[in-house]
Amino acid sequence: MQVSDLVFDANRLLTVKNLYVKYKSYWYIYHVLNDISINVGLGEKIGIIGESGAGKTTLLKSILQVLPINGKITSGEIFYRDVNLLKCSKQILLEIRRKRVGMIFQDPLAALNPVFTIKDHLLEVLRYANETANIDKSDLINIALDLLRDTLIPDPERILNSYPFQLSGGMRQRIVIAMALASARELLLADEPTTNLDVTIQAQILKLIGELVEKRGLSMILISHALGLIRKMTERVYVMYGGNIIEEAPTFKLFNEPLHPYTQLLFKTAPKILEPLSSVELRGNPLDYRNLPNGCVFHPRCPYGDSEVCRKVKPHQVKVEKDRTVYCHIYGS
Amino acid sequence: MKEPYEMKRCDKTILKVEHLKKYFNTQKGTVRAVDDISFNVFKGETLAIVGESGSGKTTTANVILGRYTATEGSVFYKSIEIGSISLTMRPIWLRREIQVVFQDPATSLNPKKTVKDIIETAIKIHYPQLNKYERIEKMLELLGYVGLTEDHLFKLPGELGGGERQLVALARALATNPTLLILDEPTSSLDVSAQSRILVTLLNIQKNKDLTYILITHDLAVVKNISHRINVMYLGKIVETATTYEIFTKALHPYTQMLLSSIPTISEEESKILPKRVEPRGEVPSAINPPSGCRFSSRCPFAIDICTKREPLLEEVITDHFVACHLVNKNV
Repeated sequence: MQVSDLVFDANRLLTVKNLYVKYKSYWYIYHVLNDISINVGLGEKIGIIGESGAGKTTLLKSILQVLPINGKITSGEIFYRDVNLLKCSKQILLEIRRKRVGMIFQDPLAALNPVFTIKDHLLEVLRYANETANIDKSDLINIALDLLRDTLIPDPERILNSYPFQLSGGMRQRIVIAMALASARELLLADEPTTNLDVTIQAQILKLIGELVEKRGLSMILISHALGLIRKMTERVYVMYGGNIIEEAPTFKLFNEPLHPYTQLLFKTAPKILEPLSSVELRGNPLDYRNLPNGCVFHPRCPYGDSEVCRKVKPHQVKVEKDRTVYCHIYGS
Repeated sequence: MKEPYEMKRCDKTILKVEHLKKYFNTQKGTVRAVDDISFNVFKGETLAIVGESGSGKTTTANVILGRYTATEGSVFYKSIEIGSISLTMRPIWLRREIQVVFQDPATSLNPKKTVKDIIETAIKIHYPQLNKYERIEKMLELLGYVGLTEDHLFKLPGELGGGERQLVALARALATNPTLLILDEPTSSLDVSAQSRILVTLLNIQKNKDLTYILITHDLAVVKNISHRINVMYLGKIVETATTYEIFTKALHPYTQMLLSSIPTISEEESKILPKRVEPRGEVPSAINPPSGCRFSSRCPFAIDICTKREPLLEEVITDHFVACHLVNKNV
């Protein structure tokens, strides 16, 4: 069986509908994703903003179904083109992972195995990505060298035979990007690709990812808690808090005028260059996923959240404009 | 932008670093982590040291703290030479006066001790004359300074959020009544929302207690908000020193411009004021064999002949604005 190359609707390459994910520990159940719905169009660049622990990485991992062993998708649907990833056969899932979707993981040192060379890493990915094409090893090495050149690695022949620990942080990140690109022919999932890097290297890596995505016509989901980075790289943004999507908007609109109280606070508290520090702060504690608050998940920390309806009723999707939605009672009535 | 800080020349110099060098011998050769730097820190100011990793920021801080001893050169704290005294040989009053807050509160706090234990240890060592009740009183006072309450006293670090943990680390540093506080990337492991809480607290404490900060970071948005002066370091050298206002409006060294132009901005107005001239490129070369001449020459888009031959000196270009660059200095 093959995944059909026809997209029935160009706006829907990937659709996640009402997804729920739980993590189980020995004593507790953590409700990490609650009713998440997103969609990614062909060639679209999506950003996901949220604090650490908002469930961003879990969302990406559940798309590829590489959740840790105690994580479980309890309900919902994930459509890739016309295939439901939660119900399809193992074969199709593997095909999608190997040939269509690539993921850049957060920590490049942890994503690379220290006992294998860069060549081993790249060839393994390439072998599966070109499974049916019947290509021999020397061609694969050439493809690997091309990938390294694409990611602007100097002296690719030497790098191919070195080990991850012999490379600098920026270089390692480039290798991880090259590996993701080897299998990403349609969609690139980038999970905080520059968190551990210096600002100058970060700027270079971002420029590189931007150019490669453009050149290969990929769609992208970029996760970050750095607001400036999302602004620069994406077209549309989802804001996550406590395992819920709380706002969706085109990037420039969100950065001009955030609507949800959480997004507003997030933008206000970010250290800025032009304005002095604001004394506004996000009060209260981060969310306890074992027992989520009733009603709006953000109400215990929300500056306007003391009304009855916020405490009791979970906010529904409110369409503010044609392309903007927000989940908040303020905009409901 | 308005000028937030006027340099007061009459201000008392609290720390003076003179021709400080710190070399490490490794199997591959000598790493020149800090190579002949000099600067002053005045009482009550925040001096930021910025630069990429590998530029020697943390090594400088460690020499001031006494975790390393200087290879050459000297560090004067209130006119006493401390650069050659290692931490264990330092008198207790000195250790009390220079304190540090580390980057990652998750690793700098013992996960098996409660907040009370963590802070109490510092008080016990430095103020042994206090009894149990006085110690508790002092602890509550410290928690009050950083905006925590007594509810936090019996919690483990694991039960606290990232921002609160860093506040506990700050309270521990304040327990000894320091005059100089070294902040080693205090916000880089934290979320955006927690960052501003730490920064506001730091500003308030400085105002109330007249503390002097040395802030080490690579996040220039943080620097803009809390520091008065900036030292830009590259490969063990200071390449530019000026007030924060000067750096953000008239950065002269190409490296400083590169750092500024790589900040991801969150609004259109912000990106307008940052220089666009220098595209970030390349990585920091090895400190074992730094490029000859100007160390930045291998990445500098404007490098000319002289740059690879002669090392530029740190010279005063405008009042209180020092730059080490041939392109800038020749115009003087």
